[in-house]
Amino acid sequence: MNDARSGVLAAVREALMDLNGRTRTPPPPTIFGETDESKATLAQHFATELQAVAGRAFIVRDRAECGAALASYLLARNVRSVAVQSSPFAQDIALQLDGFGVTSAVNLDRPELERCDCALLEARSLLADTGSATVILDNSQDRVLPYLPRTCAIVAELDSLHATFTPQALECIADTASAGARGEALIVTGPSRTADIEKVLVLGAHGPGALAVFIVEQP
Amino acid sequence: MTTSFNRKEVARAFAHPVAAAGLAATLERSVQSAHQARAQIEWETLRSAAHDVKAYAIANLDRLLTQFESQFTQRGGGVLWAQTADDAVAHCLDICRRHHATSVVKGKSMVSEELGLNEHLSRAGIDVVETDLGEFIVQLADQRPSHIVGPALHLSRQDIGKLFVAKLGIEYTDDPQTLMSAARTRLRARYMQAQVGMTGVNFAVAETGTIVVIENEGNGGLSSAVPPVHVFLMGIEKVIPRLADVPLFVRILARAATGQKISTYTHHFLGAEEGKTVYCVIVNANRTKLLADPKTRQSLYCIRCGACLNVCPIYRRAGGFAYGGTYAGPIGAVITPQLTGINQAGELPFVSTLCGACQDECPVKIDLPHQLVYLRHRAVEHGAARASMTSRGIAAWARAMRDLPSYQRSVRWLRRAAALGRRIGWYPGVLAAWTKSRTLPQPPKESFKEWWERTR
Repeated sequence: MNDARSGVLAAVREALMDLNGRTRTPPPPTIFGETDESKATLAQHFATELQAVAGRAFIVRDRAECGAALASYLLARNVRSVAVQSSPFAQDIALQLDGFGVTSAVNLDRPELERCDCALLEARSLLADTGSATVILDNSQDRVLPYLPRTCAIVAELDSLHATFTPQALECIADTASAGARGEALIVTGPSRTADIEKVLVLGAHGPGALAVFIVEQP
Repeated sequence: MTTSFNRKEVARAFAHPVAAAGLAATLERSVQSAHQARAQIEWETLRSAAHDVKAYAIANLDRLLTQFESQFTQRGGGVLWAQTADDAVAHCLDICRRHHATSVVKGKSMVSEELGLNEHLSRAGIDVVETDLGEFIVQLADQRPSHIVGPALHLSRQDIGKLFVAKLGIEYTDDPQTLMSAARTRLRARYMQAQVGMTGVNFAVAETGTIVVIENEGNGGLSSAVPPVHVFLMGIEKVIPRLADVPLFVRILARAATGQKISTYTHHFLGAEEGKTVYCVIVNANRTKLLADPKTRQSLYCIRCGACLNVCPIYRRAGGFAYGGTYAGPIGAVITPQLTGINQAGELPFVSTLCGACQDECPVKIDLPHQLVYLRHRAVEHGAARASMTSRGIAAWARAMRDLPSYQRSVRWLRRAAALGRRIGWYPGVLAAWTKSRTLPQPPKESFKEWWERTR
């Protein structure tokens, strides 16, 4: 194995021989800045963008209103069972879902997770200009949650909403990486899709066919 | 693997103008979507920035690869190096054997296509299934992908409907939603059974050991998260320096590839969580040949978006199979001769009109036309391709212009040939195709010099 490693690296170094004076300083990273729009305006922008990719956004006042809006959305989609990510915020919202079979994802095996109608996740940041949500998935059960159930619901605080890929928006990914965490930071934008057959858009390819984000103004 | 220009495939494409027009129309829709998506951002600024980051990464590849290895290993991942395609296949087989794998699910990976990995795994008794819908379709059809982003773009929905009847035993339908559902049902069971998942890599971040995989279907996420073992396959050129560079590439990749502002899933994989085993196979397989030549080094900046294919007039008419290898279109015509050897694929650089549309579309500003011209020279020098008609014509003209008598003889001969051609309406041999669709100009009865001497 070491032979292969040194062989590849030697081949790379030899190939770069003509660049003896190569720069050791990378070009400055492209930083995408915040805008001066209010959070309320950004939330509307987020909702419009998410809708454009067949998702839905609900802007709610507090956790109680979030629970009610979520329950109503799930009922409309005939959802009966919900698997919840191991995040305190998502778990707290899930407590308000009376009449649904609610279980923590960590307590379910893969077939059970697949039989669940809906996944409930917490977004650590939201990106308004694409309608995207960033979720951190650090255990094996949570990692399959965004894909296995037919419906995906995501809750997030309004404060986590940013105009675009700003450094603040991506802090959760950078922090997760620098803390030596394992697993995955996932940016999800709308329901799963494909256009592999004659470029015709089809939703629910391998993951959920429906995705909704609930933005809580006063969590 | 066939890697030379496939004339039969071109003839087939030209014999089916309706199918070719369908492909061209589909690709044009992609281009229009991409242009709309690009108009919303500072496209030129971003592609220049992406070019600079890739230039830095390639110029510092040795250092960044070792930095990535160190970070990835610290996160519990195993790094395996492969100098050749055979080494990479051996690593994959070894991983499967070590984990007693009989079933593998695969997300999209162009490197694995390059390695012919599916065939190798199948020969070793391992059942491997592609999970990206387009890849799944071409696997069922026993074909290769014809496009980097849309592997089954060459097939109509009717073709796919018939294929699913034959291979999946479903009732005929040409409804894409129903066809997708059939594939989804079939593949769900496979995720649950598989002991190993394999995916490609879009970007490997040296600073943190993060691997970024971008996709729309969720099959990459499932292939990674469900099986207990995950293998990333990446070419050495996939490394980028910092996590802060990822947003730049995320913004340009989807726009160039599909016209989306962002793909549905942007995974940032962070090594192995509890209960998971993760490997990253870093593959050279002749990429250092591209790296060693300053004139082709830029082709390693490619982020596999497929934009150059979508605009290429040759690709639009002839389709992906005409290129013979794993990579089609202008980028394929540049990298395939280097990856497989100029003697084997020397004609590929000639499969271009050199119109420059590919360079204009490229989100990392790869100078494809100049590389194509350079590789044409090399192919002719190596005897892998004949000099083009243009080159041979110019050489003949140079001989004719050497002195006055030669010039006068040549002009006289050409005038007579042109007059003869005009009389019979066509030219023989290699000029026949030209005269088939064009009216020959009427040559003057006498030259200027003759007219001057006659009338002065």
